[in-house]
Amino acid sequence: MFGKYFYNETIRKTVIAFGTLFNDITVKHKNDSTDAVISTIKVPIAYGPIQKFLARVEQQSNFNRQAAITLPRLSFEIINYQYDPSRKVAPVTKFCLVPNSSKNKIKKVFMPVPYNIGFRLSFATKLQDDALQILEQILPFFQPAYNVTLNMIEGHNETKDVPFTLNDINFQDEYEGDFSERRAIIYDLEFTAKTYFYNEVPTDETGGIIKRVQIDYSSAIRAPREVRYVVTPTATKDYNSDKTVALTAVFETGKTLLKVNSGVNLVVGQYIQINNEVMRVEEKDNTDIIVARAQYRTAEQKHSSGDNVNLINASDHALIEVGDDFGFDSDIEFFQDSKFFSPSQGSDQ
Amino acid sequence: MLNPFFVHGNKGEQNLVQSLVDEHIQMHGIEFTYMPRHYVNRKTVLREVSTSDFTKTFPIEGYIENYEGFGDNHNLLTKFGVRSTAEMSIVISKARFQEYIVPLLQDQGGVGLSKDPVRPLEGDLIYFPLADILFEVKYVEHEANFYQLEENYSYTLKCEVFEYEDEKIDTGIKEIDDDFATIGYNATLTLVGVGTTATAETSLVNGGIHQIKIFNEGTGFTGDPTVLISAPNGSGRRATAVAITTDNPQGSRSLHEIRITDPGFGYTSLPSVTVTPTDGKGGNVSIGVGIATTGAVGIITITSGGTDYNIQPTITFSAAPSGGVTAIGTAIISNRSLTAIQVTNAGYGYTLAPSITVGAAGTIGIGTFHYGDTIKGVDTETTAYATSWDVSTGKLTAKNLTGKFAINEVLTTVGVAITASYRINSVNYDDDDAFEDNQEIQIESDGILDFTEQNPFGEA
Repeated sequence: MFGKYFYNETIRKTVIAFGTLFNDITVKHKNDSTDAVISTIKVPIAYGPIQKFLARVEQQSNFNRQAAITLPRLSFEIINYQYDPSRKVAPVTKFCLVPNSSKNKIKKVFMPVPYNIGFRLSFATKLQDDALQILEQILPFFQPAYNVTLNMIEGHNETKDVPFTLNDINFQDEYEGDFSERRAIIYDLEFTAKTYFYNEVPTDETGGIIKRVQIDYSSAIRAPREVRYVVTPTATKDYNSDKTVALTAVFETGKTLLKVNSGVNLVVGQYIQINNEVMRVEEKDNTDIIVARAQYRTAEQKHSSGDNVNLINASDHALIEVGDDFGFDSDIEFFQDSKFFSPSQGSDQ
Repeated sequence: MLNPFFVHGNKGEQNLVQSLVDEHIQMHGIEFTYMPRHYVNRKTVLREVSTSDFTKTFPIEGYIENYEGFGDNHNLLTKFGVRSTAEMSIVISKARFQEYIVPLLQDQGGVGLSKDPVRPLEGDLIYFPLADILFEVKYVEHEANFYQLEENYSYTLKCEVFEYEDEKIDTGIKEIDDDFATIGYNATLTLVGVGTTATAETSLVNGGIHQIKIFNEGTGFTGDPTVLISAPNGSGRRATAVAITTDNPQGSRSLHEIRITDPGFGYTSLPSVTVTPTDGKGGNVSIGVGIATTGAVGIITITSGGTDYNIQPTITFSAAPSGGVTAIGTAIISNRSLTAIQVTNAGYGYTLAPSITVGAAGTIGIGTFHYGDTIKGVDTETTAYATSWDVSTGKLTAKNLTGKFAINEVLTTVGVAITASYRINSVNYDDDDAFEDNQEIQIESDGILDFTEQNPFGEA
């Protein structure tokens, strides 16, 4: 009913993110009289649920059980899922997802659904002091939440801050009773991760950036267009590194005359980029070019002889990516040919 | 009032019953290994023994009460991994424990809390060899016989499988120790050979000091005295030497040898050699000096001090031609490099300057590690004890690290007859326990986590 298969591994990623917070906790034992460290233990952590046969085969591969268990250990697991209405957005809203592979393309996907995932972090220790060492290495970071930024969808620039909130701490220390019963010290810390579940992400880019806006004016409804106003984006930097010409002399800061090996392809009014500085061509005399320096908020810098001069032209305009700065170019046309624009054909009819 | 005509608890009868109990256990029991707990550190306030070790063992026969096995379902899957809940009830003879184990423990000042142990203690371990399991004594029942003939004859040890943390178990019994080489937290160090070999060269001199012999070592020295050799009569260079002393039975020090640091040259007659204590204490030495007319080893120049000499290398001079005497030298090392070669015999009769071969610093690593050996990083002074060593891969696992080792520092064994010495190439602080996933989680998280700031919890 719901359609195609998809699996964004959101829960698994959240599990990993949660686990990595606690995978470098250590416990130290000291000689209290000398304060010298006797031993250091990096506390092992694992996701608690495991296939039963795998646990038996891995942990008692040769029926080995020289010891009942080695402690201390950390374990964590998911305990519940809850929809979080406080983060709800309009259900039909879509947003643009930018793939890492081509940043001038976008994918439209439905807004993710907010869910809270409950986690329980447990640790068992042999000594009360070990448990307190572990606890005190965790608590200061949760006030009561700690944010982790997750890349939510593989291959896409989509990150979310997922707060892990510490809700509750319980512990048991069974020290009373029959001597034949072992003392067990187990702490349970319950957390909530505020994460998001994403709908299917299309494999193909469903659209690109809007790079042309055209408005036709007419004197009456259903009358032929008479005036057309077109706006297109212009790049503010070089994208294709075209290396059209090269400098033949050092171009110092504060100077406006630059010398190139050929001025044929340079046009007055055109923007060019040398290294990281964008300039505008003001005048041209064969291979001597007068420019206005440090355009588009770039910084003026010294350029060496042989540095490439890249043109910022239509080829670059077509390569503008999502999130880039860009400028505008506008055009006004007047018509008297009594034609209409056909959106389906993309031409005047 | 009891009937005075009946004797209750006659000592002879008690001994008879005790002997029958002992004999019964010795016929039907099995040989356990009893391991008393040694308390290394006890925490106040929270009242727990945070560190223990088990290094003493006593074989003792015991009878297994739970002859039907450990019971059903004694291996449980918990959120912390597989846990064995096997229990065992072992009967041991009271007399055997008190007559055999207690005196030995008391001779050694006791262990644990009690300096004067008289019974098996809760917290001690007992090794069950048939299943290769270490049990911890949870409770010692001493009244199971309930005063038959007014005496008790056995202890019933209620045991559970030992919960292991970082207790050092170094019994010298392979069957027990090898179980703890892998379980529990182990860091894995990858070791490589250490050091580069030093090189030295020399030239020949004529009329140099050949040897300074000690006829009478003298006595009363508190340190090494200075040695003064008179200058040659004609042109030449004055020789220098140093004296080395050693402890003597009188409680002071005597001359051990005199090493030539520069044989000088141009001596045509025997020089005078005087030995002067630096603090005026000691003397009564008698020495003789010989000069080499031709072909003695001159000043020795260290062309490369080498690195990582942890023990004094041997110095070998190429042999002198027939009729000559081959020089003998001693290496002086400082900061793990060769700093000088002093000769005890400069030789003579050489026609060409001899080649000097300095012993290898351990370019392929030297020594081996055994379970329980204390290891130490020379720079960081971090210590641990070795649990396993694979010489083919250079992998050393170690427990009870007191800190972190530094990459490239030299690792040596401490307190063993033959020092092992290697350089640390890498350290993996993640345990290789089947339960442990620290590193796997870290690797997976690297692709999905976006820590723009440092992970305050650290990177595993």
